[in-house]
Amino acid sequence: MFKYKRSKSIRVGGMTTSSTEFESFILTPKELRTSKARQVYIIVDPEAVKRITEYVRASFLILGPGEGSEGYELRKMIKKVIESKKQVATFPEDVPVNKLYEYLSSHGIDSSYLSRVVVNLTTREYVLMLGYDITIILLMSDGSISEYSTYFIKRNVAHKIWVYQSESVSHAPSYVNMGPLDLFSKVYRQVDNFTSSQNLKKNVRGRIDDLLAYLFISSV
Amino acid sequence: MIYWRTFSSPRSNQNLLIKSKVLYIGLSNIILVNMDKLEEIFESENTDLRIKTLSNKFRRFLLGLIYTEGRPMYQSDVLKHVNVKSNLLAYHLKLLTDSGLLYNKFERREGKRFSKYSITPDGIRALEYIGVKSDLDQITSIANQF
Repeated sequence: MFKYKRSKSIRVGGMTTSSTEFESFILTPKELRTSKARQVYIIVDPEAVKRITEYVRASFLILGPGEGSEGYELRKMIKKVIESKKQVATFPEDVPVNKLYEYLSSHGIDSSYLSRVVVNLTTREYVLMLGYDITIILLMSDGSISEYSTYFIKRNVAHKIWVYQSESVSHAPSYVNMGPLDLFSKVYRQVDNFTSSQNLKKNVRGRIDDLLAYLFISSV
Repeated sequence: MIYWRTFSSPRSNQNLLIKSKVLYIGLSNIILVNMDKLEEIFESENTDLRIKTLSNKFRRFLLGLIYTEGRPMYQSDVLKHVNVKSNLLAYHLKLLTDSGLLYNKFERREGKRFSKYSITPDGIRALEYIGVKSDLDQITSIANQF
């Protein structure tokens, strides 16, 4: 017959309590006070990255092929990956033109720099990129997205851009590949190639985990 | 959570399973380890106590924290890094000390006795065994640069 065995009471640090209570204690991110403690926490327990998503906030703007195009599903997949980590992900076309300020404020994104209504598409995307923490650009064709080259040379947003380029078009002798993207990859080294949707998902997920871990460690 | 570590290249999984021992600690933690190899690593009589000590995430965290500090720490030093009750911390530090992974040196100041904890060579070996030492070394080396 099964008999319930009572846990031993122990006296440590001037207080008496049961060892079961101590053993069942689980360290959570909110108890960590210093960046070193946060670093050790992530190293010692690699699964902690899943738990820190509630303690950090990052916003992602996803640029790439529009609705009906070949890569639109991949863009949606990236958005889903980001949202699964409880972070903000937005397609620029979903942001209402006349309510940019209200939209950004409601999503917890800094919009204090907005001083006038922006109607031009390039300027509007640039303004959005200023507000968001990271901009993900999905390149699916060899030359049609050359307009992104505008952002690669803007210093205040270029460092926040992550480029994912399809392997099939990465060696094409196009303007984007030979010009802005080549320059961007040499300066910022934030260009990744992907072979399949699974490959892309894995890359994006790994990079987001790294970013969240970095934000978690540095936000003390 | 299941920890599965292969220390050598076994001829078959069955061979490894025969040599292994399954330890149930709590309800959620199952640790499967090769006991022969573990005893070889620890070279100690209190292997079971060390496994118990390392099975707790908080104790692994404490061991890692004291290792990265690079100098002996008082309990109050540890409390600067982590916001937990002092008796809970004392319990876990005591287990780490009893299992020989930490060394506790008593110091007398103003009539009071203070414990000063530092990591032992076995503690460093334990961090190597759980596969975190090299990553922790990076924090220490970055901190030493400043």
